[in-house]
Amino acid sequence: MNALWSALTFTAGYNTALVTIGAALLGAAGGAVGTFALLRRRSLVSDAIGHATLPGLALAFIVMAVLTGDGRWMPGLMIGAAVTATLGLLAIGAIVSRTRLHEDAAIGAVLSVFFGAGVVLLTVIQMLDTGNQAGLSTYLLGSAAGMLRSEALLIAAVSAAVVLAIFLLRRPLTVVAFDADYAAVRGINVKRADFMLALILLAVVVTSLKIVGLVLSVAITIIPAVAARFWTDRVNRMIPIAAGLGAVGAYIGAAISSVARNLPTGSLIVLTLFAIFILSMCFAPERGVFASAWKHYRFKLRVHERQGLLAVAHREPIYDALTLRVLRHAGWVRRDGVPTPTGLAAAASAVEDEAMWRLYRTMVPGDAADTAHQRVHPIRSILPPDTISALMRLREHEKRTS
Amino acid sequence: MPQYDASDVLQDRLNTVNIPLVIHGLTVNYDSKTVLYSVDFTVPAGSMSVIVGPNGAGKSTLIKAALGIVPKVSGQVSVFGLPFDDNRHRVAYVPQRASVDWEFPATAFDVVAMGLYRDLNPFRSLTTEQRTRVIDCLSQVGMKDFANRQIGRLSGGQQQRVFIARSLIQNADLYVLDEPFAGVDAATERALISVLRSVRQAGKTVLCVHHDLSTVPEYFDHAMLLNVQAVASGPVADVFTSERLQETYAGRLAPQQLERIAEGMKTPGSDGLVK
Repeated sequence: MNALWSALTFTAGYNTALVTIGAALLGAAGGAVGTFALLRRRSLVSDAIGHATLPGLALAFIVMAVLTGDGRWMPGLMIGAAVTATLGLLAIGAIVSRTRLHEDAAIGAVLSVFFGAGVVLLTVIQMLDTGNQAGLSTYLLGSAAGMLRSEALLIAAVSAAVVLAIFLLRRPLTVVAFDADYAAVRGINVKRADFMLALILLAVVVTSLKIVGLVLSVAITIIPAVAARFWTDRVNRMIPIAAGLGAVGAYIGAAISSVARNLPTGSLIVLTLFAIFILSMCFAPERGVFASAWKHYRFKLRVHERQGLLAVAHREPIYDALTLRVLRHAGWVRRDGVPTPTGLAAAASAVEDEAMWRLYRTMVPGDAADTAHQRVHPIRSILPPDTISALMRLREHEKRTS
Repeated sequence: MPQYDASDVLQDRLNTVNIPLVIHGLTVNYDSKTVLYSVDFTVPAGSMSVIVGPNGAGKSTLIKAALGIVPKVSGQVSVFGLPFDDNRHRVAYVPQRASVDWEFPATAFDVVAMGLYRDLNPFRSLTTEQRTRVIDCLSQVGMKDFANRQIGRLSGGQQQRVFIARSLIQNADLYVLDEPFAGVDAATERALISVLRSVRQAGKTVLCVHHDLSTVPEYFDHAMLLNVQAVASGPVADVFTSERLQETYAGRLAPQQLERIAEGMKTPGSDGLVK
């Protein structure tokens, strides 16, 4: 536990600190770009990119091994990975635009074919007599152990560039993700925006290979964004939240892996991110599981309150225990069940509100269905002022004629 | 074949520079199906124009092809005398409500702020003046109190108000709306039409795709009847004859429907509802 604490507080040595900081920046980049991958429904594309890097990694390894005797130089491997990942992206694009297949089928086909080719090349490398082939298998599931300082710096630099690029492109990417047709009318080049998003995704995936590994690289773009969605209803907040959650998850995962050296770093980071996702899902205000349960309970109380007040207004007896408790708690009925003056006033306004909702439903059946779950709230807090005044005119008319 | 020289081209351009939208010979195919065939349509400046026709007549496609969203097989489109690309800043577009992802993390405020897209500095957030403009446009459609609500938690009519507010903030000269009244309540329809009227009063031009024939004479002054080809276009009073309507709808309009439309024609613009 002490070793983990020192890894988390950057006191476990220079290299461990470097690795955890690099991982944190990578997690931030994954969260930032992942927000738009999620909103533009491109999350699986990053999985295809990840798997399509394998043949490139292997080929780059072979070429460098033949030329220099050592195939493990990370920038060279990243370039190789980027080349075949780009080919994979182009293949997906071609399948979608030239055939009747949808994107999911194209992603599945490209992902498996490229990965299969990569596995064949890995087997070829094992038969080669280069001695250092062990270096390549860590790219499958990621390994932060023994990372070079230059490698950590490269990862940090690319991640920082990705975060900056997402910041600068946040508005066009948001408009395109929200409504591509509208974006096109406004003069945003939708194809170029999608291309930039794919390019940034590619940069993140290729950069993550060393730490997270190609099989799990999809997780650092998907999980932080999905977790962040629980915490906010606005894109401009979702980006920093996703980046923050991604950074924390990758940082903790990398720190654990520096202590548990025989566990793959990628798996530890993914599991940490998953824990963050579960926490977000349970505890986020508004959208979280507990908040939803609480909201449902509040709704139930409101229904009982409304029904109780209507019963009071119509001089009907109330038998339901919860209804009675709600009304007593609000000071609207006495212990013996007799309504108080404030209770009668509240009942009268509940009747009026109910009448307005009823008019609204007859006036606009379609819209009323959209707002049905809000019917227990005062109508004035739900509908815009001009609708309210139209309803009030109708209500006046109704009162005069009845 | 007439010979054109540079001065003719200039003259043509001067003739159309004040016309918001001129569509000439527009043909659009989806795969091998012809959706629009050689459509001509001119939207006069300062008009409340409408495109009507049966389902599948190509009404939305006409708008989308004119605005470059759908590729055209042939035809020319000019917006205030220039290709749309060169004048797109003068056009505000309100898409069909059905095309929007309502789960998207955006509030009513955020959606309206998207209309400011062209004016925003990538390094900055919105200025105070821009925020005031967003709120101002939301108030114009009666949605100021809903600025912070996520768009999926608004009713259909409220959502449409927000999208109209997003078009208002552009301060465009031509407003193009695709089925703005589809699935909205009567109060919202009246609120929206009065907003569009005040837009027109400010000297702008409005073009809607609309499906409710009976309200056309009341809301609009210039109409095009469309069913893959242009059946007729011109002032509503000239175009909305029962023969032409039946031709557009392939004889499927009931006599009562035609009567109701004729009823609306007698008292154009006298909509006792909007006051």
